[in-house]
Amino acid sequence: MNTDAIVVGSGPAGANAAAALIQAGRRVLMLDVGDVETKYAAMIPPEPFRRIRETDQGQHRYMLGDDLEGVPQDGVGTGAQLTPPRLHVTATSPGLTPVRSETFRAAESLALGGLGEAWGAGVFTFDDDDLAAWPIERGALMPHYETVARRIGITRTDDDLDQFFGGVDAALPPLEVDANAEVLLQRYRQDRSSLNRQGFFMGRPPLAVCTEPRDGRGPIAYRDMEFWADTDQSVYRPRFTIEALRRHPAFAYRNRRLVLRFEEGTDGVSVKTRNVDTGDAETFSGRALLLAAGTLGTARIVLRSVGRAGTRAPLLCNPYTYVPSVNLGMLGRPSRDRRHSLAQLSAVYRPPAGAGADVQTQVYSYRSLLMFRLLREAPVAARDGLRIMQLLVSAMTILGINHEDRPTASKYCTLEQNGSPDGALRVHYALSDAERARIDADERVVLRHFRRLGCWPIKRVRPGDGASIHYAGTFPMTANPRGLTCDAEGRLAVTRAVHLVDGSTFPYLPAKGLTFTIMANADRIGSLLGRRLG
Amino acid sequence: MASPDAVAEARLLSRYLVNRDCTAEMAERYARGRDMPARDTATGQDVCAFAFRHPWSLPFLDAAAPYVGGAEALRSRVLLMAAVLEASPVFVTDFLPREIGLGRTLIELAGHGFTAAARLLIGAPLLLLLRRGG
Repeated sequence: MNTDAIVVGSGPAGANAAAALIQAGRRVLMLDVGDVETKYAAMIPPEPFRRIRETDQGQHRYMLGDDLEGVPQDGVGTGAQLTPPRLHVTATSPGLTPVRSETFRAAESLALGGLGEAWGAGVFTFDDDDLAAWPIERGALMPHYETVARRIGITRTDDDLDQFFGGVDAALPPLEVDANAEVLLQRYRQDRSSLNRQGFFMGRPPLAVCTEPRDGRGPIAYRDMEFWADTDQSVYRPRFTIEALRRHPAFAYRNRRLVLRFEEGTDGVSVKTRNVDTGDAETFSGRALLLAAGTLGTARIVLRSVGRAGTRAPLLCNPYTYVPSVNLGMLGRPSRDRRHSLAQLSAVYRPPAGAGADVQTQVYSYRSLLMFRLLREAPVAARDGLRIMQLLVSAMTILGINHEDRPTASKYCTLEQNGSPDGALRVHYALSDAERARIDADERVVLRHFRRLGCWPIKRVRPGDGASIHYAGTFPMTANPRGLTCDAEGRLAVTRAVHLVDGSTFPYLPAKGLTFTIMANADRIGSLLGRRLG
Repeated sequence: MASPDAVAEARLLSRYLVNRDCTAEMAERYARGRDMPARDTATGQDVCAFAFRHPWSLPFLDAAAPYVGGAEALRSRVLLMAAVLEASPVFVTDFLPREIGLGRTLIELAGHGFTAAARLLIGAPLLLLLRRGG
C-alpha cells in the first residue's frame, strides 16, 4: 500500500489522528508495539464487584496476579492503581524505552491503546486561558471536541463545572453518582453560594462513558469493575477505534514495531523500526509522519532523528497529590452496589484574580481496589485496621488534586548517548520553592472547602514527580516556530512533513486532564493533513 | 509444595487477621508469595522471626511497625496474608463494608481506636527492645 501518512502509536492521539485521516480518504499505516493483555481479562466474569467477591473462587488470580504482581511491596507511586489485568499497559516500557531520572517516576505505555487503556476517562475541554499560549483559537478546536465526543461517546451534565470544561453538545445522558457522592453534592448545594464566592465549584465530571448502547459498546452496567476489566466496553479505550479502523481497507496496522527514528527524503518520510519480538530492522515510508508515541516516546524519536542528543526539551507534568478522606455524612450509612469506579465528582478551585491558576480535584469513592491497599497506608496494626476500614470504607473518599504546570529551566528531558545507538531518555524535573509553596497553599484551601462539605482529609500523599502521568510540552506549538518547536499544525519546524499530535506540543498544562484535548487536537491535525495530502 | 514453616506462618497470620484458619490453598498462595526472591528484601527479618516464635507479640509489633521502623518484613508478610485472605469468597464478610448505622459505627470505631492505641503503647517499647538486641 502506498502510504499517505504513517501514525506512530495507538493511544488516544494516534487513534484519533488516524480516524481523521481515514475519514478524509487518506491511506494510513499505524506502527505500534501494541502489547495486549492475554491472561487475566478473559477470566473476569461480567458480574458486579460484590457478586464476584462473594462467589468467584478464581478471583485471586486476576485480583492478586498469579505471581502476586498485584500486591505491591513498595509504597504508593506512579501507576499504583494498575491491577494485574492492567499491568500490561506499562509492563514493557521500562525495558524497551527506559527513562533515567533520580526523581521523576515516569510511566509510559507500549500497549495497544497506550495509556488510554488505563485512563480515568475524564474529558475536559480547555478554555481560552488554557489555550492562550497556543497559536490557535479555541474556536478552531471546538469542532474537533465535538467530533471526538461523537466518536468516543461522552456523558456530561449541566452544572457548575460547565464554565470550566463544558461547551460540548454531543453528549449522552449523565452517569448516576453513588451514595457517597450524593451526600457531598447535597452538602455542596446547601452552601453553594458561599462556596462559589470563595472560588470553589463542584459537579459531575464529564466522562468518556456510554450510558446508552453505542456502536456495540455499553451501556454502562454499574458493576464497579472499571479498574479491572472493560466487560461492558462502556468506558472508551482507544483500541476500540483501532479495531474499527482495522476493518477499513485504507488502514494498515503493524504491531510489534518499536519506532526508533525517522529520516526525511525528497518525497516523504521513512521510519526505522525494530521488531520487539525478532529484533529485525524494518523501514516504512509515507508522505507524512504523525508522531503520537506519548510525550516521552515522541521526545525520544525526535531527539534521535534530528541529532540533538543533549538538547534539553522542556517537560511539563501536572503536580499531583492524593488525599484519602472520610465523608462524615456517610458514616454508618448504606452504600449502593450499583456504582462505577471512575471519578464521581470533580471540583475546581479558582484562586482570586492574579493569585494563581485553577486547581482541579477528582473525587473517587473507594471499594473495588480492595481493602489490603488501604491497610498498607493505615498506621495501625493490620488486625485493627481491617475492622476500622470495614466501618469507614463506605465513607472513604479519595481526592486526587492536580495543579497546573508551566515550563521552567528545571524541567526538561534529554537524550543521553550511553554507548547504545538508541540512547536513553533522561528526565530532570524539579519544582521551584515558589511552585511548591503555591501548591501547598492551594491544597490547604481546597481541603478546607472539602472539610466544609463534611469530607475530612486523613493525610496528603504526594506520590512523586511524574505520578500524574500527564506529560506535555517538549516541542511546543508556537506562532513563530523554529528549531524544536511546532507550528499550528504540529509540524516540527526543522522538518517538512513530521507532525506531532500528542501532548508534546502543548505549551502549557492546566490542572484539568489533557487527554480529551490531545484527542481533539489530533483530530484537528489529522483533518488538516487529510485535506492537504489529497 | 510450600514449606511447613510458611504454612504455619500463614495459619498464624490468618488467625491474627480474621480469627479463623485459612484454607490449605491460601496457605500455599501465601507461602509462594513470601518465598519469592523479590519479596525477601524487607528489613527486620529478626523481628519477624521473633513474632512468629512468640505469636502473642504479633499484634503489638504490627501496631508499632508504622511508627518505629525495623519491622518492615513483618508488616510486609501481614499485608501479603491480608491480600491472600481478601481475594477469596471464603472470608469476604471480613473485607466488605459494614454499614451498621452511625451510632454503632462511632462506638465500634472508638473501641478499635482504643485497642489500636493500647497495642501501640505496648508494641513500641517492645520493638525498640528487639531492635537494640538484634
